[in-house]
Amino acid sequence: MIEVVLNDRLGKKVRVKCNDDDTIGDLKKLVAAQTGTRSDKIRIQKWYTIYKDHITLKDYEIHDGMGLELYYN
Amino acid sequence: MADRPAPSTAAIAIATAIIGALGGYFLGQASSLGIFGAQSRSSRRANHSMAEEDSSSDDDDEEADQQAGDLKEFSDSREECKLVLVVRTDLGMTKGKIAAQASHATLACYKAMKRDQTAAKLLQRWERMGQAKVALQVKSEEELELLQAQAMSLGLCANIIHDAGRTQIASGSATVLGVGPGPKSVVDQTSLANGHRLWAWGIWLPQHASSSRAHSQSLPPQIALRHGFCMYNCHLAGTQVCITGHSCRYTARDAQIAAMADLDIEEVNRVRKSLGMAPLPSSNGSNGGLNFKPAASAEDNSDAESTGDLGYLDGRQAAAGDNWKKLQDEANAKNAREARLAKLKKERDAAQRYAKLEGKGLGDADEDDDQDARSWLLGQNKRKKKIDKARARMLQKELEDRENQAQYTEKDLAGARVGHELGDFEEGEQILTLKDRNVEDEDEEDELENAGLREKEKAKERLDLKKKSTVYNPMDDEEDPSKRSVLAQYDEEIDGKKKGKTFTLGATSASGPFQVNGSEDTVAGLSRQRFSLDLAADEKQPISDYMDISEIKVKKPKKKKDKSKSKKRANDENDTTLPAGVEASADTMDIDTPAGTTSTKRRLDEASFIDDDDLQSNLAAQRRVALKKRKLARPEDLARQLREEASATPMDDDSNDGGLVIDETTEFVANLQKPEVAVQRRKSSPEPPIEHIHGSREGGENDVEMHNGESSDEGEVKPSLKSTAPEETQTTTGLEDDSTLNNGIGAALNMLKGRGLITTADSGDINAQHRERQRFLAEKQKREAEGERKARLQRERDRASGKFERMSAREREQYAQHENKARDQADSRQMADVFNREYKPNVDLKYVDEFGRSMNQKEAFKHMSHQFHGKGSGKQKTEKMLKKIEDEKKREARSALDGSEGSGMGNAASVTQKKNRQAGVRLQ
Repeated sequence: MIEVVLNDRLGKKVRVKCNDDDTIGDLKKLVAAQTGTRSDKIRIQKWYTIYKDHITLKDYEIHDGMGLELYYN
Repeated sequence: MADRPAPSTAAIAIATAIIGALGGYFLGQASSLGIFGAQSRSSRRANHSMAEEDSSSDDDDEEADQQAGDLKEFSDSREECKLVLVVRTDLGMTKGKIAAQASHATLACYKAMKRDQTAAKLLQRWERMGQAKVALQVKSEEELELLQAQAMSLGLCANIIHDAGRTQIASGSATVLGVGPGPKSVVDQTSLANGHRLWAWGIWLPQHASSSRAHSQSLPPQIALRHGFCMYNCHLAGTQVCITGHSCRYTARDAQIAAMADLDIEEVNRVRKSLGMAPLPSSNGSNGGLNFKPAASAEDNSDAESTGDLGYLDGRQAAAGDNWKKLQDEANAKNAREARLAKLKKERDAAQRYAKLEGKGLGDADEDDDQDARSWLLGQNKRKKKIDKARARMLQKELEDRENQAQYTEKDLAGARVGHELGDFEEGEQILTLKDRNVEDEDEEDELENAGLREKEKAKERLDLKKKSTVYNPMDDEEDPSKRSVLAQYDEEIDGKKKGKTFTLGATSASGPFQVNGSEDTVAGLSRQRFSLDLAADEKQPISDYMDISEIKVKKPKKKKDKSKSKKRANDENDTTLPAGVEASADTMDIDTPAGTTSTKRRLDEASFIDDDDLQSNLAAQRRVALKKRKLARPEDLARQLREEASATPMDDDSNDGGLVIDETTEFVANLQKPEVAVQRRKSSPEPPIEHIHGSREGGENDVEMHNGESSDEGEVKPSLKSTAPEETQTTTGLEDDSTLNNGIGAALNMLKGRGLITTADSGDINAQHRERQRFLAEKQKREAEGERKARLQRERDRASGKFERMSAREREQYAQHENKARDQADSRQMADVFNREYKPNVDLKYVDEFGRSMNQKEAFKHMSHQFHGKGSGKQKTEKMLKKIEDEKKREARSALDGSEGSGMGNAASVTQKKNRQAGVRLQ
């Protein structure tokens, strides 16, 4: 299990517990459950790399305690 | 959303709930409690086991009763509290209605709790911790009542709101059930059966977050939302939601910003489960609040293990224990194995160590003969004999072995070739080694050689090569030229190296290992060789650079003979008297010396004079002139002398011996030559025959002084010819001798000229000019004397004629003046005439530059041009010039020893010497 920190820099900063074989889509759902934003409105990215839904955290090499950027579209 | 009958209504209800909750602090009290059963529920037991049970209502009742009393205990606990609002959605209430009803329920619950003193703390906690409210939905009144009953059975406050029915729904219908606020764990046990829908949950965030920081530390952290509630929008079918966000904390740095809720693992798991995702790994599934969890019991572990679910921590710990044990076992086994191996090795080593020490040691007693001293003594003899015998046997064997061993004697060396002459070997032992040769040429026989001798031979060869001796050696014995072919020196190159002298060793006698075999090319040849060597030694003595005394001896009588012969001949000639028309030089030659010697001397002359043709011709001319002069005087001289000095003393003879009249010019010229040369010339020069007539004593020694006394007013010292006479005979090579300075100015001049330090102009011209000048001067003097004489005569004549007597003294004076004047005029006219006629001015313009060098015409022109234009030559040209001057200086300052510089041969020789790194001075 890992914990990922997502920050939209507008006031929301979420720590989400997840597995590293979860997909980004799963993460979005978890974030949605935690923040109340619809998962399909969430965009997760790191710098200019927009993470794709079907790829796992492991594949993006997201590790415990890492921070990701949270955007809304 | 799909399984939701009235989505719009639900939405309204949620909104209402939110608004209601947001609105403020409703105080309400649950009016009724209903107990319903027959629904499976997931309950949290006191021991926090995950097990879910489907139990009958009786069981539930018992449980509820049992735990109802526990509610008071929670007043001190820090577990978070929540209020659950269960909304009936089958009524079709709008959002606003639902909100209003929820608000009613909240208010009712709060008021009820407020009344109960025991629950004051609980209520306070709830208020402080965000007044968490959870909205659920049910589809019927029965369900609602059931839930109420459950809650009441747990000792919770549970109020159902009945609407007045004035607007939307029928009067008195139950709309919302409010449960709590109560501790989370208790509330979860009651109301939250599967199938209930979570609508929303919300927590109020206090406005003064910073002020409540203190609480946040003392209280369990809350799930906080910004300004109210966040909604679960998604459908959590059949999910029981409880809010146990104990790890959340206020992170509000200001009022606007708050951290998002950090969900517990189990909550997350629930969410995940609802999303159809694999749950997060955790140690024990549904672990609730901290205080409700006693130390993990054995039951838990057993549960975890029995279900095969590897608990997150405990399971891992257990596994870790196993692993550790396994590792330990392995390590132990390994240690044991190693110890065993070490022991084995030690034993093996010990065994090996003692393997050599078998038998008895010194300290070990003989076990076989434990005899006493007497018997040992008795046996001593026997033992000794035995030892002696063994030794003898050993010796014998050794001897036999030695005999059997192939003995390497001279026999083995018989027929071996030795690559040296026998004579080369010195006395004493010689070590011969097998000569190196190529592997390929098998036809070649093995050859022995002595390393030292071979070295010597090689060194000699090298030396010969270096010497590069000329092919033709005039000193070689000329007895049998037939022996040597013309191109003998190439024989070696063509035929290959001479095999060298070798001999073979034989084994004829045992006297010495190196016995020469009796074949024809060895002993006999060698002896012959030895003899011949001796002969050669007699014949060929090293030729010394100096003339041998014997040779000189041989020549001396010859010379005397020559002299006597020449004397005779001179006498003859004198008798006949000189033929007038014969050319002087030739005939004096004939007179002077016999033909053979003269010819050789001539040759010498030519050889040494070849380089100066002008000089030569001049000399010849001078000689001729001198001869002519003498010839004029000769006849009477001859006659007189013949008569007068028939019995002349030897002294007279001496005085005339080698007599030669030398004028200035010839003397000068003679001094330009080398001394020997001068002698030669003098010998060959015409001499008065008187010498020969009375020539009882000869030798060029004395005549030099005589000449000095007799000839020329010059201050020059004539070179002494004393030593040169014998040397003359030795100069057989036809080369010049080295010029030295000890032979007078002439020699010095000659040397300087040879080295290019002095450039002589045409000496003939100079001489002619000089003579002309002298003649002119003499003539002038003569003329003056003549004039003088004439004037005197005139004066005498005048006196005699009595001219003066007629005149007065003054007139006489005047007359004399007049005469003198006239005479002077005549003289000067004459002189002018002569001067015009005879005077040839010798104009020699000499320019000298700033270094003191005399410049030639071209240089002078350049110099003057520069001076005129006030502008010198460029830097490069100046440098070049300076360098030239430097070179010149260097050349002039070169050591007097280095006389070879003038000739190219010397230079080449020195260069080769330098190349070959040979030291030496070339003697010329």
